[in-house]
Amino acid sequence: MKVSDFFQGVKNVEIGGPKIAFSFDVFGVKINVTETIIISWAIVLGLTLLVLFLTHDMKKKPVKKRQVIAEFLVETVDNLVKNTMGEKFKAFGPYIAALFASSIFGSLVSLIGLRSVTADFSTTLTWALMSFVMIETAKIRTDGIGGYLKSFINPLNIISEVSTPVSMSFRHFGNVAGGMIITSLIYFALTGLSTAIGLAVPVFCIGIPAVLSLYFDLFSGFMQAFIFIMLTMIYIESACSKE
Amino acid sequence: MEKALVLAASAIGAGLAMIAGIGPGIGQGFAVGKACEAIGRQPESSGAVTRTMFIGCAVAESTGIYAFVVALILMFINPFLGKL
Amino acid sequence: MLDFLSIDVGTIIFTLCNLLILFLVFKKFLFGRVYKILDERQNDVTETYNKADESLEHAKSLESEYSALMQGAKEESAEIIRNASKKAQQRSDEIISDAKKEAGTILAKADEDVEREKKRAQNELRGEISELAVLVAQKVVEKEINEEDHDRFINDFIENVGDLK
Repeated sequence: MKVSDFFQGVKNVEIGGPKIAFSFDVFGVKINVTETIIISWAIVLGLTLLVLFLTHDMKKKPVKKRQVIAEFLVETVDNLVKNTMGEKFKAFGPYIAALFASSIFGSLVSLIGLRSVTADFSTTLTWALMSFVMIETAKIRTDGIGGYLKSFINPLNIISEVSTPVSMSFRHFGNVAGGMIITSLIYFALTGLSTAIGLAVPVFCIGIPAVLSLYFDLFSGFMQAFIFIMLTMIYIESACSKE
Repeated sequence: MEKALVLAASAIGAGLAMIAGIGPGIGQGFAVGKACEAIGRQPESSGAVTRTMFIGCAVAESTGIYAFVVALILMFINPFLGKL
Repeated sequence: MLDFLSIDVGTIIFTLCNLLILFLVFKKFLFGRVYKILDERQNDVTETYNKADESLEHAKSLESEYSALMQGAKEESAEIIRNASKKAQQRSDEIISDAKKEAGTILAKADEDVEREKKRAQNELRGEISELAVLVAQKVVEKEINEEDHDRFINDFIENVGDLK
């Protein structure tokens, strides 16, 4: 929601993809730098600074609160990975943490009025493809290339393999984008309600959407980020274990 | 006239697509009911049960979300208007 | 503006880059540093435990050493006491035997004395008796007895007296 929307209300529901900030050509391919990319750059920058701040000047004896926080975060991720995948997949910790952090902060930026990064299908598709590549790599490493190719004798297996990233990306995207659309629809409806009873400023838009955004942004964003990493871990773990 | 027809059909299609919401509703209801039973039987493991239930619910919800996305596309993006 | 449901190559590439950058940052700066600290702490704890074990071991060895020493001291003292009592026993035996010996010598001396006294008394008695006999003989017989008979007579007498003892 923009500031002007707050005073004038949302007169028209427009639902579209992310806006293009600028675009350039690389070898004839048009590369768009969209809203999503700029926001995710900001998220990466902010997280990097946060990490550098948290882990700056660590001591053997924790004297600063931020070190305790950093250790707590690392141990939480470690325990999650260990409990879900087992001890030998400890190296996945940073990847899982990066995925979770970018996912949850990408969803939570909508709280400060920006467009959610995860409401862009390209983003979630990228993450799902990344997980897909990891899963397939794990399968090839476990079964060998012959065994991996043999599993596709049954064509249904191809569908089940392809459906993994599709369902993962669509689930995350659908939840966040649906929440975004419902939020804007609610703003639209509340504006209409305000004008219908003759109010110049849409007062209904003040408190009510906040309660809903608690579910659609906070809870849903957190849940989807958690589910995304859980599914990634479970798929990779089951791909690595031979039946 | 044709535009109106396509819009009406899109709206009806969106409505029909949202029938898929029944599935996740029933599924999640079952899941939560079973989770409540499990917690009633073993209250000490309520944390694990709740966590697992949430994950299962979110996964079961995905079909509903797909339907929701289809309905949104039909209503707001109107891909069939361009085909006229 | 892109479509609501669009797949954009630029977004995919940049998102991939962002994810990798975030992964590397997390790996190097968050996990790496925290693991390093945790490892150091773990090492410290292990070291402390090792030290504690070491000192326990040391204390145990000291204890056994001391107890061995104590045992030795006890044995030594027992030895000393035994020696002393043996010596004392020996000494007392010696003293007793000395005393016995002395008593024996004293007794022997006393016997000797008695013997000598007796002899002397016999000799004295013999002299007196011979004198007496001579006197008696002179007085009673009043006759000439040659010296030879006289002596024999006296000696017989003494012999008889001596047998009386």
